[in-house]
Amino acid sequence: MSKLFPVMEVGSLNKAPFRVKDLARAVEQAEKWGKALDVENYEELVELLRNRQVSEDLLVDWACIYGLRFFESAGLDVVYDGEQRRVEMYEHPLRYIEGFEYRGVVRVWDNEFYRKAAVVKRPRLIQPYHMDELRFNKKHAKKPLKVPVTSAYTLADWSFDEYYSKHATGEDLAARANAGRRDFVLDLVEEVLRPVVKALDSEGVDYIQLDEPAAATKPHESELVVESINETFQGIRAKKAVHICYTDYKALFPALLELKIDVLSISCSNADTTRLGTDPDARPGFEVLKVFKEYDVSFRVAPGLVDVHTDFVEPPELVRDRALYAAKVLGDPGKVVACNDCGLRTRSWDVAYQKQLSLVRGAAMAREMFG
Amino acid sequence: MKAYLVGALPRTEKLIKAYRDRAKNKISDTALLSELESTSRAYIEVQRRNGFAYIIDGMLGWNDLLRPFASSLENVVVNGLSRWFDNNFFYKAPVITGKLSLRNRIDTSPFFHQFIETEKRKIVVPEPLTFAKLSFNKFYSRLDDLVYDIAQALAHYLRQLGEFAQVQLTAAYLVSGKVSSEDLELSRSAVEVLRKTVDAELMLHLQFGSAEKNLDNFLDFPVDVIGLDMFKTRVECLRGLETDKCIFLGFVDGRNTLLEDAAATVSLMKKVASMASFGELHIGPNCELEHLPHEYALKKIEVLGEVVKLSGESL
Repeated sequence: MSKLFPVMEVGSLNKAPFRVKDLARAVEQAEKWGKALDVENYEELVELLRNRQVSEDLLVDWACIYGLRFFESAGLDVVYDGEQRRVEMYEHPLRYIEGFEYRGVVRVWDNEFYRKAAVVKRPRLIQPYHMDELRFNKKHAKKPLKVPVTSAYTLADWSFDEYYSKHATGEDLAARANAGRRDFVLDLVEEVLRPVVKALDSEGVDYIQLDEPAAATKPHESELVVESINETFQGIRAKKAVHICYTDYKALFPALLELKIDVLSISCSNADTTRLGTDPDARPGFEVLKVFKEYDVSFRVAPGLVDVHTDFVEPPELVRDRALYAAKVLGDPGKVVACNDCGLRTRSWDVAYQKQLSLVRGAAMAREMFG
Repeated sequence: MKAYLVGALPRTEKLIKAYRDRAKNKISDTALLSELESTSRAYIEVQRRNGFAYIIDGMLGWNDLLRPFASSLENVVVNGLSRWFDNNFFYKAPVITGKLSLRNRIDTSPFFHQFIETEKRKIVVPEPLTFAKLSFNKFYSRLDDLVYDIAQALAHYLRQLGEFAQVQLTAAYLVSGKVSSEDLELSRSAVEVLRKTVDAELMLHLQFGSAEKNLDNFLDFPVDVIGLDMFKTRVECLRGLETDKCIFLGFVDGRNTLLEDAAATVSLMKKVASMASFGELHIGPNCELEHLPHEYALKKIEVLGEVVKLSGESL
């Protein structure tokens, strides 16, 4: 990826719009997006839907193809299938790991809850996951692929611990909790994440991305976060990406300096204005990049140039200015990868697609500025 | 020895569904309120049955610790999500746009204190500096002006809510590792404002962090009880402690489903009692139990009930 401001997706898309109960709508959406995204043989899907002959598995296969074409036709350089096969990023991997038991739902905010599991014994990988998904996508993709994988630290942070803290020695509860934590994370790396990432790597994929939304939850554990990522990626041939969204990135320094990866994608546009300009007042969401420059990080940074939490479609000029400002702060346009703040799961395909077109056009406009 | 809780309890799956149904207009406000009330009564009963000295109503209608108070203030709106200290839980941050004062009419709909006898009734509110630090201040040029106005408004707020046996100030910011000596002094003098107006046992609860470094400072706060998160604060740091204040030990983990052994907990309590001198020993969870599934919050309450029984025989 030698061109300036290459464009990457981050992860999830909303369910393909033809995955609905209303048959007429499913047919209409399959046709509309099939044409718009130039999906080969989309008429076949339309016919299957019309005749109610499509199984759930086949429908998901088609959704993945549409997901790939969604990003490819928008012009992104690195793509994936919008995670059309996955339920969500916590429960999906837990299906393939022994040693966890669900304990019930816990609140995330207001009346939003998630099912939380407890680790009850040393985790063991039942079988590497995301493999069939990657093989399928490799068969159908026309551009380089980046497969996202939930990291060990995030899986640990989002789970209860009924095993490690129980087996930690000593009477002091504070010391026991700390000791158990490290073992939990590093066991997940050794027993689960590293084998999964190795298996994906052996399939021959361009990028592997570790999703680490919990990275800055406990700033005193940022060294453990970095250590677990580096350990997971050990010996991997694919390019290494990490995605950390909506967080206090400053809290992760200086630990992040030890991160041995190619690209770190972060959220910026959610905290930015929609005014054009490459001055600090117009670009408050990108001020955080100063700390990356100050510490002179070795990896490239993929600041989110598109806010995924609003239906406002950023004009390409806004994307361009955000990219240019990022390049100015980092002092090197070659350090910037154009990206979304996070996955586009919360947006409709119509809005998400417009946003991707803008992202690609804005990145191209920024590129032109450098001849 | 006293046992009690220090924050919100989890919503039951039935109550979660009632909230969702209300959002979709499938049920009425009255139906939601009725579900809230019956869940609250059940939680009150389970605390009573386990011999708790103070009882909370479960705080089931609170979306986060800051919200009911923030919603009762003039010139405050709540905005985007912010992380609740080091948890995978998010609160909506108050945005302060003008001088703070309590609204003429405060919303008392999330409260069910009337079902708890006054001599056991407890309320949990944010400590003023913690509230200030978790807010976005767009009006005050001086932090101390903001914090004193929060303290004044909080004092009025508590008066309007009625009589309580214990008022807890949750002061997680004070043990977050970001606190300066000026912050501590500011917090102490803001708590003084509440001390003058609150006619109840006053507790400063220091959760999610270690109190070790500033323990002497906390003992100077004008409160009756100092609450410690014993999953963050080392037992050894209490050796030689001398104070007239009561010490609350958060020995039951509100953030993990692993169940504590009641006998081992009593043994730890005895150890603390033998190495320090203080007014009275209180025990409970280190933080709110709402980070657990409902069933496990009940199990933790039962563990505490067991500790009450065992310690009654041996302490």
